Amino acid sequence: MTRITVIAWREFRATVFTWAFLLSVALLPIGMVGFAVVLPLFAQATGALDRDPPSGEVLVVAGPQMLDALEEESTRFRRARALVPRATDGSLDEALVRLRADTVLAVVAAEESPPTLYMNGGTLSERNIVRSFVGRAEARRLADDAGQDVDAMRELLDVEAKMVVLSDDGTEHGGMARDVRDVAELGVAMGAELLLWLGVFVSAQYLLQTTIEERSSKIMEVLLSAVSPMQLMAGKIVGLGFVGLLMTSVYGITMLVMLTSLGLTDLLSPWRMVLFGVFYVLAYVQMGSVFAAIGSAVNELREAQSLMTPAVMTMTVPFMAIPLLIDVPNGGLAVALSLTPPISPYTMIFRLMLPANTVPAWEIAAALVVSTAWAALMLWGSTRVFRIGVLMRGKAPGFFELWRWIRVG
Amino acid sequence: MAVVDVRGITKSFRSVRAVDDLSLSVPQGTITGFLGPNGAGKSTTIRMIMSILRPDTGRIDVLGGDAWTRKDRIGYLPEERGVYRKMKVEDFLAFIAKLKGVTRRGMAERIQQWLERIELPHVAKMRCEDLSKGMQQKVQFAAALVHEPDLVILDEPFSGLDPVNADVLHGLIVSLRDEGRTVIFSTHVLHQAERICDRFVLINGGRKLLDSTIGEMRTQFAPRTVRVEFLAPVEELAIPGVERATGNGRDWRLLLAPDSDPQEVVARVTGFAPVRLVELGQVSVEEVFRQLVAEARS
Repeated sequence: MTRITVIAWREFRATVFTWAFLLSVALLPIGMVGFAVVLPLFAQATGALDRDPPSGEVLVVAGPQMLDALEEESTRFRRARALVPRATDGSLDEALVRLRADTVLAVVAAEESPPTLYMNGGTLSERNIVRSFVGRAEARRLADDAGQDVDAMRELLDVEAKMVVLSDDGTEHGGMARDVRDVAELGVAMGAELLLWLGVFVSAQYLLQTTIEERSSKIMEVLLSAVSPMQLMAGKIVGLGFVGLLMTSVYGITMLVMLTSLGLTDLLSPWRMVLFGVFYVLAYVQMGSVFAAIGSAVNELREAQSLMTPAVMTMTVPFMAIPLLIDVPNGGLAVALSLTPPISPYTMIFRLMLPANTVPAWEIAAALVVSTAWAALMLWGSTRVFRIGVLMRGKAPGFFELWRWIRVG
Repeated sequence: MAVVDVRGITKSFRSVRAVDDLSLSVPQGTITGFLGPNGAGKSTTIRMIMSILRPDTGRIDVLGGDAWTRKDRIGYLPEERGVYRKMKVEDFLAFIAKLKGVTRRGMAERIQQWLERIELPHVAKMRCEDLSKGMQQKVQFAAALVHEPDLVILDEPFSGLDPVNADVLHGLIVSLRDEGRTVIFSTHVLHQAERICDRFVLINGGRKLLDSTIGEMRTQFAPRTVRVEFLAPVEELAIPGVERATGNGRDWRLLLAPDSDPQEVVARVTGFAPVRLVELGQVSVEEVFRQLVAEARS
């Protein structure tokens, strides 16, 4: 155990006490503070976010009614207040010549309904505003023709029902507050799954890199003169596991601070966090041991890519499944994915972290059993590959060769 | 007392038999050279002694027990060796020492002492990557010894070293033996082994060809050359028992036929013409090695 600790501490120290790691860990909290505090302050101070509305003349060809409607809209449509409608006696072609010369912002050909809007480029935002402006004016013109009050109609169309959402505990929420809460709940579940994946993947990636480095710097045999391959691998897995845990903790605390600031701390319960920790360890052992084994068998990172691809591709499945699980988190697909290794921990964490969802206890227990068995299997196979791989030289093995190592290792 | 006792070990990698029924014994307080060409099975044998590899058959006792349980008493410098490039030298040595069971107490003094022994007292705070290749090799050597092992196993310790550093290492290996430690080292540089070893184990094709001291070897393998200096120049030299005679005038070197008796040849040479000097060539490890390998191949 002491030797495993010595190796684990070296791995942890060599990885964590570097500027690159400290910077990468600090990046998320710094980024979030940046987005939440600094950016709005900066934008406010400099006016960087104040976008000027489009301005200029809008030339109306053959449409006195349209001109009136546009003038009316320019007083009512806030984003169109800098647009100045003007009538022209000339033809459409003459108007377009002026448009190409940029002496007007837009041309409206109003002979037919709906009218045709011409613009000479402009930004997407400008085009959208001018299009809305002309569309609203046409609606006003048509309403006037029909003897209707378009402003009253708009008010009628904007009416929404007042919403009250009842909770299981009998409390009532306003619709908007409940919407914010639902988004936050989904954010917590997705954030937890992402956090799990990120921590596990980053640690596993470090495992792969350091193992390849040890092979290429020919330190392996020196280490194996003091410890067994199993001790070496265990030390590396433990040490770099703590690296991932440190990173996950920093990100998790950042998430917690955000939830606290939104008054949503009740979305995280202690038992959910404990289960997160357990599934984290299982997911890490599953992926970490495989990556350590791959690292022991290859000479450089490039050679590892082809062996890693199936593992990495598999890990995208739980994320692709999220849209299918949001509305039915306890459905058949959710249960199947929760009990399928190696994606079981990720899917289960997503379901568990949905605060409004209650996952049946037997499913949690079954997922724990499946994940533990898979972790043990991966550890067993990886140890056999590691034992042979660290002493092998030459061409990197393929999948069949790795399978042979597992059988004879 | 045998520090290493190997009995009938065999190791195969797929269809290749790397070590074939090898037995040997290494006495305490000696320097024993494992000699053999590349691919002879030296490193595989050493890895089995270190319990890094397991023999397919046979048994290995190290320091009176199973090698795995004696790891802390063995210092090992593998052929493929390296350092953690980003680590400071003192941290690297401390890390290896801890893995070998050394406690923190007195660690700094111990490390400094070994750095002084390898004549690098000033590098403790330097990163390994900032050292030259030769200096790194000496640090690796210190790493193999920092835990004060009873048995030291060095696989090709001189490879890549310049003559000055090779001499430093040579002196250290001899001093280890003088301190009572047992040293095994493998090399294919035979003249180096001849300078330093008390015993030789010649290995080829995974099999042991010879296991003896230098004295025993010289007794077992009669000299194969005779150097002659005649008083007067000799035009041509044809003596029974001599396979080839090279030279001209006064100085001649005679290569003896395989079955000839050196003493008889000397008697014939002195009867051939008056001589100033007749010297029986001393058999070298290299000659013995070449002869044994050639015999094994034939």
